[in-house]
Order: sequence, then C-alpha cells, then structure tokens
Amino acid sequence: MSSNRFNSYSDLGIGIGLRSVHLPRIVETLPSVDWFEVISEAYMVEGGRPLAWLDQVASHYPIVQHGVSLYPGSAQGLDEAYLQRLKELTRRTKTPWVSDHLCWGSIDGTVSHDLLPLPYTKEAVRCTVANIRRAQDILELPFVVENLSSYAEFHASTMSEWQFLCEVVEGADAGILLDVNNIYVSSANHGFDPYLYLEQLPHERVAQIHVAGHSRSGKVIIDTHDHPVCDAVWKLYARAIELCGKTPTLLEWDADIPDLETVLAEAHKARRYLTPQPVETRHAG
Amino acid sequence: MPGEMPLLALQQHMLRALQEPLSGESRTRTSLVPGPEGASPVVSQVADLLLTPSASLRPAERLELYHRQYWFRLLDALAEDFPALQRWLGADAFWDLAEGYLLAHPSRSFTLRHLGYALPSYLPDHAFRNPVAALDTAFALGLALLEVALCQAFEAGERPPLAGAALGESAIALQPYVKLLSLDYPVDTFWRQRRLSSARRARFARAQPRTRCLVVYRRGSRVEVERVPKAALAILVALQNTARLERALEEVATVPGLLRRQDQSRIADWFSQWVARGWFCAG
Repeated sequence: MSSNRFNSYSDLGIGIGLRSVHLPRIVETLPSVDWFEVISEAYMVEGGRPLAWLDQVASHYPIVQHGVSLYPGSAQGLDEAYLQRLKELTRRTKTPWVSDHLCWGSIDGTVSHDLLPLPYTKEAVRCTVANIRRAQDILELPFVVENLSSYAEFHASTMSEWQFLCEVVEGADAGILLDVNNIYVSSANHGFDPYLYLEQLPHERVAQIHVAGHSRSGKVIIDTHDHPVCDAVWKLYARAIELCGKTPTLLEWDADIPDLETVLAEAHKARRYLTPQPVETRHAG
Repeated sequence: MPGEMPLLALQQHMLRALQEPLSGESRTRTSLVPGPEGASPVVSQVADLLLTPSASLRPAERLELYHRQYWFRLLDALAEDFPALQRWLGADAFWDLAEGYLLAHPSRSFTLRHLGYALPSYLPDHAFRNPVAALDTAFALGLALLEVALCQAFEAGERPPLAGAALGESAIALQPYVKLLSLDYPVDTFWRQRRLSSARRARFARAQPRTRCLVVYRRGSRVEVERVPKAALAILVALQNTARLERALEEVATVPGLLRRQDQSRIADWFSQWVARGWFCAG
C-alpha cells in the first residue's frame, strides 16, 4: 500500500462507507473488509445509537473519518466549535487521518449542507491553505482534502482544478483524497481530460482513493453514489494506482444502497488493480 | 469585473441565490437537472455574474442544479424528522410550512439533525397558503414538539445514573435523553399510526383539547414515548427545576388538586421505575 505521512503510514487496503442500513449485518457477520470510513458529522453526537454502533464496529475494524461540514474553502474561516467536536470524535475512533472536501458551504453563520465549488484563484488558495493549517493545528492529525465533483465553473478562476488542488495541498502541506469518480464526473461536465488531471497531481501526497458510481441526467453527470462503478472509472482508478502505488481505497455507495454483500463485492473489484496479476504466458506457436 | 470579486462576496452572492425559493419547473420535478424554465430571475442574475456556461448548460442551469440540491436536501431532512407532521398536514401543506420555516430559520448547525429544532416556535406564526391547513395548527404544533423531542432524545448524552438511595442526598438532574412534554391533543396516538384513513384523521381533528403528559426517553438505543399521569410529569418537571427531591415533592403537593389520593400511593412505584430506567443523574 502507498504508506505515507498523509495516511499515517497505514497499510489499509479496501474499505467501504459505514452506513446505518448495514450496521446490524456488519456487527452480526463481521464481513471481510479491511476498514470502514465514517461520515464524521453522523457521530458528532453526545450519545445514543450512533455512538453505540460506532464503538461496536471500531472494536473490530479500523475506522477512518471523512467529513462533509468542515468547509476548508470558507472565506470566513472555520467553525472552531465544530473543530473541537471533530477532535473529540478522532479520540474515540483513533482515525489515522481526517479528510474533507475541497469546497465551501457556509457563510455568515448559514450552513448550506452542500459541497459548493470554489473559484480557482490565488485568493481562494490562500484562504483554503490558512483554513487547512488551522484544522491541522487543532486536530493534530494528517488532514487530507478530496477533489470535488462539480457542475459549475467561475468567471473568476485563473487556473485549472488540478493546479488549484496542487497549490492548496502544497501550501498547507496536506494530503489528497483522490476521488477518481469525481475527476470523471467533472471532466465530463467541464470538458477536460481526466488523465491529464491525474498526471499533474503530486502523487506522493495521495493518502486515500474513493471510487463510486454516478448517474447521467440529461446534459450532466451527477455524482449520485447510487450505482456500481462504471468501467471508465475503473480504468481511471487503474491509472491512479500506477501513478500513486497501492493506496487505501474506499467504495462509496450512499443512495439506493443495496445489501451489504453487493456493496462488498463491488468494493473488492478494486483488488484486481491492487494485487499484481500473473503475466500471461505466451506459448510459441 | 466579475473576475475581481472577492471570495467572501462571491460566496455571499451564491448562498443568497441558493436560498431563493424554487420556482417554475424546479418546484414540481424531483430530478436535480433543471429544465429551461427552472431558474428564478435572481438565480439567473447571480449565475450570469458568477458562472461561465459549459458546452451544454447555461450559467443559470448550472447554478439551478445547486439550487435544487440545496432545497431538496433540506426539505428531505425535515420530512425525515417530521414524518407524522407531514402525514397530518399532507405533502403540499408540509412543503409550504417547511419552505417558510427554512426561509425564516436557515440552518446554523453543522448537522442536519438540528435543522428542525426551531420548527415548533415558527409553526404558530406560519401563514399557510391553504387556509384549511391553518385550522389544524394546534394539533400540528403538538406533533412538531413531539418529533423534536424524539430527535433530541435520539442523540442526547447519558450520564452515570444515580441509585435510588442517592436521590434524597444529592442534587438530581434528569438524564439529557429524558424529555418532558405536556400537550393538548393525542398527538402520540396519531404519531403511532403509520397508515391513516381520512375518517380516522377526521376523528383526530375533532379531538377536544385536554392535557396529555408524555415522557420521551431512550431505552437502550430505542427512543420511546410514554404517557404518564399529570402528577408524575409535575414531579419530574419540579425535579428538573429544583434539583432536590424533597423540594420537588413539596412544590407538587402545594398545587391544589394535582396530587390525588391514588397518586400519593403510587409515587414510590414511579420512582422505583424511573430509577430502574436510570433517568436520574447527579445535578
């Protein structure tokens, strides 16, 4: 596995997202999977069933925290109370790293609960770098940012998405959660070459990879996480593994969620790219 | 020039546009992708200011996708937390209420679980488009209070429970997951009805106001709703206010007619049940 300082030199293999619909089955059968990713905000609570389930799963599997509300691109800085609660949860889960999205979503105290795209500008780089550095100081864990799937581009942008991602992670000394489905979705919606995007990244900073399914809806592709991973995304994943090395990989399936076995079978398809395949022997005719 | 707009101003413009009520096709379709008439004038104006077109979408269509996503996510979250209120009001009146509520109380929390906490305080002032729905607001308010209590009990903390012997000696508090409600209508009975005929609903609508005392609490990982006698709820409320057993009992005893003879003989049973459930902790 691609062990590096951004994933705390962990050797995690293939994981799936921990979803409430699967919890009883997971605890009952302890399925064969290397780790679970949890949505941090679902467990930033005082008590009750979410934490009870989390503790049970954490007693059997490594847990990695993935957030949706840190909003590192917010022009007004981070919510300090949120950061403290996030830190409390990291102590409970012992997550080796913390990830969230390269986005904004809250302004003037109002929270959109969406992952909104940023303009790719120097100002946005400076703002995001400062916010991520603040998060790292508080959390005292490696912080890893995920590239977004997006449906909009700004007049204000002065650089490509991958240039923006590179400047942010290098400025903040952060890792990358490389979502290859998001690259695919955005490349189709914005008309860029997804392989060029992959080539341009600092591969040594990739701590984790996401794969997921998406839906075509009219003139755009939407990042719905409600389908199996399509062949084009698996091909992009294969190239990502060539460039980054074997990297902890997680399948996201968040809507129209099928049974646990179906999700696990889809996730384990990643093994064919992570495990070296025997070279076919050519027989002389 | 749009290119020179500071990041803060850009984010303020964009979020304000997303908070605009949905209009046109966006109100009637559930797919995220907008049709040609989806965007309101404000959304179109902000989109042109901020966004470029793509090969297939105009700026307004691109922003409208986020606009729908914003509203659908928040409306879905409210519908998930208030299923009984939605059954009571019907889908159209619930959307009407939810939209008005979100315009008045946009989310201020990192989690959608807290989104509806202020709905009971907003509901009595909401001007329903359908005046028939307005007639049902007293019952609806009871349902909203019950469903907020359910959400709060679900995720509230739990402190080390006090043993029975400690109740008279130390300051007492109720566990954070114990919520007390005094409501005017049988909303708990309605809440338990997963399917409802129009005749049955009409019977609820005709219910006369009369105090119903409820405790919403967590047992293990399940949230339960239990009716309790008026005196029992009064003791629990007094304990919450005074933190002292003796004082709470004195307070309840001074209310004329509250503690009936049969209640007095049941107080010990109530306390042993509450202690067994771990409802008390150090205050």
